[in-house]
Amino acid sequence: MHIKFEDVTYTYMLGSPFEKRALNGVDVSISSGSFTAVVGSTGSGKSTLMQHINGLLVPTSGQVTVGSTVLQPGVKRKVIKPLRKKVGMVFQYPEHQLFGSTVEEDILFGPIQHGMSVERVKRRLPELLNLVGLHEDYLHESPFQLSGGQMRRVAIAGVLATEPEVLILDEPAAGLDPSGHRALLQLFRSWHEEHGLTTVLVTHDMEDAANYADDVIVMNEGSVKLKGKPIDVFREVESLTAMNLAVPPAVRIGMALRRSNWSIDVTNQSSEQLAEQLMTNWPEKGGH
Amino acid sequence: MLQNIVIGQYVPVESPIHRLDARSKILAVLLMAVVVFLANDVVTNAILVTFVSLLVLLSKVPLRFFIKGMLPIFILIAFTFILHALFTNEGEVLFTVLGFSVYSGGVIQGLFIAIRIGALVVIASLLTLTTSPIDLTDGFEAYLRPFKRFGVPSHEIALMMAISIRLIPTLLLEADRILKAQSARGADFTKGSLKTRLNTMTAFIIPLFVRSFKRAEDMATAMDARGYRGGEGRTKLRILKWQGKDTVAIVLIVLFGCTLGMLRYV
Repeated sequence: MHIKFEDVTYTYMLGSPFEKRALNGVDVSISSGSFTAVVGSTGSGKSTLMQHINGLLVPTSGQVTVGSTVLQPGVKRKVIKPLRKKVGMVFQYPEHQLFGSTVEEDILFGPIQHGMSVERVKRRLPELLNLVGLHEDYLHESPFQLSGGQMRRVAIAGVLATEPEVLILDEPAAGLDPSGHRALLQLFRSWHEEHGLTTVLVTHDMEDAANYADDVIVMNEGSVKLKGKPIDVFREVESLTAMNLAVPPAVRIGMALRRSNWSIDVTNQSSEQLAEQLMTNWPEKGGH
Repeated sequence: MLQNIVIGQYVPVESPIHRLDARSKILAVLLMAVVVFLANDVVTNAILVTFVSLLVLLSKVPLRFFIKGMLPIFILIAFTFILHALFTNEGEVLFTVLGFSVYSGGVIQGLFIAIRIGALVVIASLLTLTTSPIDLTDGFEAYLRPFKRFGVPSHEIALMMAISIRLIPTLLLEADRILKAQSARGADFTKGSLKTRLNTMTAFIIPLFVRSFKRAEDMATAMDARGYRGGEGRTKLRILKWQGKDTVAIVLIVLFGCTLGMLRYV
């Protein structure tokens, strides 16, 4: 589904002395079927932006279009409700939302709320659980007896179970160890490709943007500063640094090597790609 | 969703009332609670309204914060006003409703009572609107300290108050996050039968409880780790200072009380 923001402004606590403008005339679109990373430092407005996509927040002015749904100030609840079914959202620390007495009950919460066929979802549960990296035996255990990482997988399964067309991920891997981090993002990337989703990954980790995203949107102080393919965005080293964002190490090293005449392809962005290029280039350069 | 709730109701603006010591403000509120009941006729009530209005102006807190504080009490004020208007048989009959004769004296009595309750609420709101929660608990602790010899755990009570007040915004933030997460999964907290709504509420309440217990445990551990061992021999980072202006404020309130008393009894 195509997502379009038109001159969107959002102000928290409107009309109180604590009023704070979080979004300031945001104009950006996210094309259908893309994996887009929204990066920005803390307080840049990236989480606020993302909560507009399923109507958790409604713009103070301007409009958001998600597929055929238009969200404007004063939009009705009955417009938002069906949108929630289409847009799945994984919050930061999703394990904090668990409540069910069994893993199964918790995962089924979303599908039941959305009026999906419980029988059909139930049949697919073992498969879904395996997909997020849990054994199906866990279905009948209490989610509170699992480890932190396992709880997060259950929560994520709970979001995927509603079969969303748009998936919004807010720092889904925060607090995980490097291998858990990689496994989780790879899971989202392959789910994205298999189901033809539109995925939005909110992160401050530029490396994740480099490794998994097709497009990158850079937010700062409530507006979109840069948008484009990761490698084009990463070329703007100076403006990124000014926004307290670091260019991923692989890109930085690649650029430095290119400057000293190594034949490194600038379109590389992940550590793996850089390592591969270094390997092929090594003999001719290191030999003399 | 819960973002519009302002807790502690403290409004951080600069004003002479904000700068007063928390202890003098608490004492002033207690004194005013007595003084308010000295007003019993048109003149004293007019003076009372003027005095309280001046205090409100002096605090520089926007008027709508006071109105917000008044709303829950409004029903009570309206109720007492109607009761007085209906059951006081003084003065001349103004009109009759449902067999009750409404006397002019009743209306006036009702108005006086309404003014007194209103003034009390405004004065109490003034305290919380102009004093930060930390100063407020420090002030209460200072007043509780003398009762320590009778076994009142003043430090612990103050600590409990401080922790509770400190954690209210955190809890609200957490509640907001969980509400949003469950709403994103399709939960609708405003629709459906009682049974489905109860079921939806558990999806909100249980995570909130789980997180709160976890946080309490973490906090106890953190306090232990930093060597917290109760109030014995503990010094304070923020020390309350009773200044000249605090004495002036209390004297002013007492003088005001005396004036009202003189007008009433002399």
